[in-house]
Amino acid sequence: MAARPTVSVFSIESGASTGTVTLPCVMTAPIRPDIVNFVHTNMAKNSRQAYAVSKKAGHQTSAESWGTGRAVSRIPRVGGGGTQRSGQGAFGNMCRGGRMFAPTKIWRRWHRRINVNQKRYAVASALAASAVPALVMARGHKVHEVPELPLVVDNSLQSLKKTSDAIKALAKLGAAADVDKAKNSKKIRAGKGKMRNRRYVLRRGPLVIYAESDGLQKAFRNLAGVETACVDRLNLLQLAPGGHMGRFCVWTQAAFERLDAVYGTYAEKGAKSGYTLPRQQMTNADVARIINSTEVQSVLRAARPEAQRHMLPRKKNALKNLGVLERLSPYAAHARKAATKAQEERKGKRAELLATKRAAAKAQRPAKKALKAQGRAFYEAANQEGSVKF
Amino acid sequence: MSIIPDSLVWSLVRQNNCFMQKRNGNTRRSGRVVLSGEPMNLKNVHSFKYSGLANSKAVGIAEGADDKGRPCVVLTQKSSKKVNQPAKAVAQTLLKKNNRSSARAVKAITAGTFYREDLTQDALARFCIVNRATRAKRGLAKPMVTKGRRAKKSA
Repeated sequence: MAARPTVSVFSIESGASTGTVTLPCVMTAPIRPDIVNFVHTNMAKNSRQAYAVSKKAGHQTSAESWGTGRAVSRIPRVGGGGTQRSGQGAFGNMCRGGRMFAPTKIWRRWHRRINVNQKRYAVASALAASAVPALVMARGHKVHEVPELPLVVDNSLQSLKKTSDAIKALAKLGAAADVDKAKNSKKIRAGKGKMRNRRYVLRRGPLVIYAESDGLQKAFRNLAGVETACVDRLNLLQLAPGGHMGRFCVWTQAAFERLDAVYGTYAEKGAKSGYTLPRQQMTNADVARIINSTEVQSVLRAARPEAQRHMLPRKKNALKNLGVLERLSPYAAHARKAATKAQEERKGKRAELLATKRAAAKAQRPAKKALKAQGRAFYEAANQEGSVKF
Repeated sequence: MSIIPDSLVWSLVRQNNCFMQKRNGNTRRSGRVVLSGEPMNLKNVHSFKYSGLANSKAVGIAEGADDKGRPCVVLTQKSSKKVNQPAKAVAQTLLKKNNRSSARAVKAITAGTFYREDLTQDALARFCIVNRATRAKRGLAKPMVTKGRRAKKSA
């Protein structure tokens, strides 16, 4: 790999850049969401405490089944008389007062062992992701006013004693938006957790990472959503909360410079025994760029012309397309001609017939009229005479 | 600082990110649409082409305010050279002149400098809608007609 890029160091008083440090090797590690997610889900299980229902629950009765023949189900029933409980079903998970289905046991496998190498891979990945603004934004952090990512600040941050100074420093570094977002996001938890000492939920703000804490931890601890961590003890649960990498990290210069000593570089081993940083699978992961490069494009066969690509002709409907019909049936043209001719003839004959019928009707019309007039005259005359009386 | 390619960012962001919005059903067959609330997404659609996060070159058009506090259209553009400096990464242009010259500016920024020619039409379309809304707010145009549920809500 070529010379590693540098990162600016920002002053907490002025917010201006005061120097540079080289980017630690961990931040060029491969970004593997699958590993981060896997390690996170398993690590999150390691802080669980065992719980179970009482071993005796639902079994503190001497119920016996009544057997068949009494027109009730064969579930064990509480014996005796003189109380509501007698004769009620017991033991079964379907019974009131019965035990639950598959009662929980304290010897469930609560914790998970995770390969150390995998854990370190996940942390390296999460660190690399925290240096990519797009991924930090995709996690939901408000970093649009941050001067640079990774955000490195001078070591005076480590000796801050007051929370008010901590807030001022974060504001100077453009991290105020993210702090406020976390602060304003405090809501009462949905569900029963709120009666189990987990009353509130809130978003995570920036993670402040130091090398030596000379008051820093106390200065930042009352800021909602802001967490602190030491470089030597970085925790994936903080670097990738929820298994989503790209936590917004604020590094002190000393912490940032220590990263190489902790995780090592590709040339030298770090403090973690027997550990080498994972390498990139590809020197250049920009696949689109590789495909479009002249080296690749120059050896590719030219794209096939459009005509060659569609070798199969489109199927045409012989019932609708005359050309195709005639190809299939040579008689079709003759049949169509004959049909038209026959139709013409029929048309002529029909017209002739109609004409003769109409002429005949016309000839009869005066006689019909006379007959109708005669009838009407008779009716009038009959009306004049009035009703007949007997 | 490690510059990671756009296609890699997209593959990391595609499955899940905080701007993603899924609507209607769980599968594509049951009518799911995946939308995005990213700041520089011209169509608010969750796709590589329109993604404001994954593309090192992206254009956004939104309503903002000019120096006198009046609503106007703001065109934002990502600088592909300042990827690691979020505060400097986005350049703003206020589009407060008439429609024609503003539209010309939109075209010049997307296509004119070989920045993102594929986004020109979408940028113009978005500009028209946002521009109409801002002009309505300033009282220069009729307010936009809202229909259906949205109209009832605002009433």
